[in-house]
Amino acid sequence: MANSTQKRDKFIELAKSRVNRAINMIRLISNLANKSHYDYTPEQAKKIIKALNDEVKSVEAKFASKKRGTEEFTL
Amino acid sequence: MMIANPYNDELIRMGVIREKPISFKKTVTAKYIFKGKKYLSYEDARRQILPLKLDSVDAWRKYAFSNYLGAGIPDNPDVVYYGRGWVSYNHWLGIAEKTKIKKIIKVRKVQKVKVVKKEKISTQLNLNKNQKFVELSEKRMPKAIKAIKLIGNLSNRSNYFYLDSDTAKILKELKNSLKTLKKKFK
Repeated sequence: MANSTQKRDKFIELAKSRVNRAINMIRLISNLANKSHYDYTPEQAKKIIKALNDEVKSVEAKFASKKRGTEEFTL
Repeated sequence: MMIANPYNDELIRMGVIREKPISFKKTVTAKYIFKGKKYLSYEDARRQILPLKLDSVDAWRKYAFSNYLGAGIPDNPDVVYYGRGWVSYNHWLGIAEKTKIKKIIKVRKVQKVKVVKKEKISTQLNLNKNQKFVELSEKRMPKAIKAIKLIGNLSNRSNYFYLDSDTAKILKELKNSLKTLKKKFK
């Protein structure tokens, strides 16, 4: 189906740009761990790590639930 | 065996023979026969060795080859009791328990040192640098979370078509970058 190939191309294009962007953002945050420029308490570091971890987990859950968008409305 | 002899009483008084000859069988309740010799069970023999308080295998060897150990106790217990309850020379001499206690003490000391280090860090928190950290993290964190959320939107199958291998790749990349972040913060 031409439709599915189009959808797949779109997915790959967007995934590339979005994943790269996300990784870049995470890299920027990991720069904050540099103790010669910044200082932080262990609790603050834990908070940041937990927030990012939870977000990645929710993404994983979204991809794992295959039902999303495949359900067709029937009467 | 006592020999029926009318002079026995006389001989016993003179100390030439004993009233009841000590037989090996009666004094040693031998459990094992190894190469024709009778030995005590591992636990019984160990009970007689423990009071000597030998603190190393070398000390044991020196003692065993220069002294009489007692009936039914081998000088090569690792061979005699192999497969019959043999644990180790440390167990045989009662050394294992001591070393364990030492290790526990060492671990406790290390934990104390760690706690002290943590306290030092918290007291020496540079407020200026911490302020910078808070400002920048408050700027960058929402952006990062948004970026990750946008990836989650790609899971909508009515707009996109993807395979399980694609999602596995994406998640692997994200998790790897998170791992490096965790390492840096430790």
